[in-house]
Amino acid sequence: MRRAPGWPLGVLVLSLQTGCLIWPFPTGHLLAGRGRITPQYVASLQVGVATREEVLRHLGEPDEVLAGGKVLVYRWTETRGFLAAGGYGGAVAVPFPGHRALRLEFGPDARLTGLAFERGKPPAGPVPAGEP
Amino acid sequence: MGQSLPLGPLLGLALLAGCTPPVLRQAEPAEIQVAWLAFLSDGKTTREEVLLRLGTPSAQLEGERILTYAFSRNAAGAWSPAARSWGRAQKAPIFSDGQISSLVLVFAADGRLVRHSLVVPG
Repeated sequence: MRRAPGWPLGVLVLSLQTGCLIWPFPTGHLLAGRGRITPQYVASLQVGVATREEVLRHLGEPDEVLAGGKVLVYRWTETRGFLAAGGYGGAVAVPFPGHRALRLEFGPDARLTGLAFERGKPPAGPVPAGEP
Repeated sequence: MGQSLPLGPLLGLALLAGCTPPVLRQAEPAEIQVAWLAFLSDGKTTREEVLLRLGTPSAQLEGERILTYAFSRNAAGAWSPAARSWGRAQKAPIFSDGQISSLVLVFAADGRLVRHSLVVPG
């Protein structure tokens, strides 16, 4: 006996009907930022070993410089899915964004003390990159 | 009885295939040797030369020891300085063009370039 094709096929069939649908598939389009930073790419930046200079040479210019350069933040936004609405004769799809960030913290000796990936909108009032 | 196919996972993979956003990577040495960056030479180029050729950096860290420049490349391959804008969705200044490269220059105390790198979207 054949198994049911699964929920993705069901979602696809539903999307062909009229009405409104949240299409939860990330297409991966970059909506903002210089690009996605993967855990693999930053694996070489070891806490307690890597310096701020090494981090900058590896990741480029940060989007935020906080606490006098003790914290660097890299941000990007990618498409998490679509809100689609349609009927006979027309349809529209609006992407909903997924905000991503990589936050790196440094000690007084300019060595990396923490590295964490974050999700969600940034807090209001960020400080643009510049002179820490 | 036939072998059942995992259609659900296959369909999901098909929808996601080829949709990975650009991932940051370090440029190969050959990519840095493009015309407008060919003058950069570790141990020789001075901060003054850099400022005269590339203009005001988009950011500087650790005093003036580390300078960064953000550039975008158009369809014709020409480079131009890039700036962040306040995105409505992000509520933060962020680059809206996905083809931004970041040049990082590290200088010694005497003002000579000691190390540099170019981070590009892959």
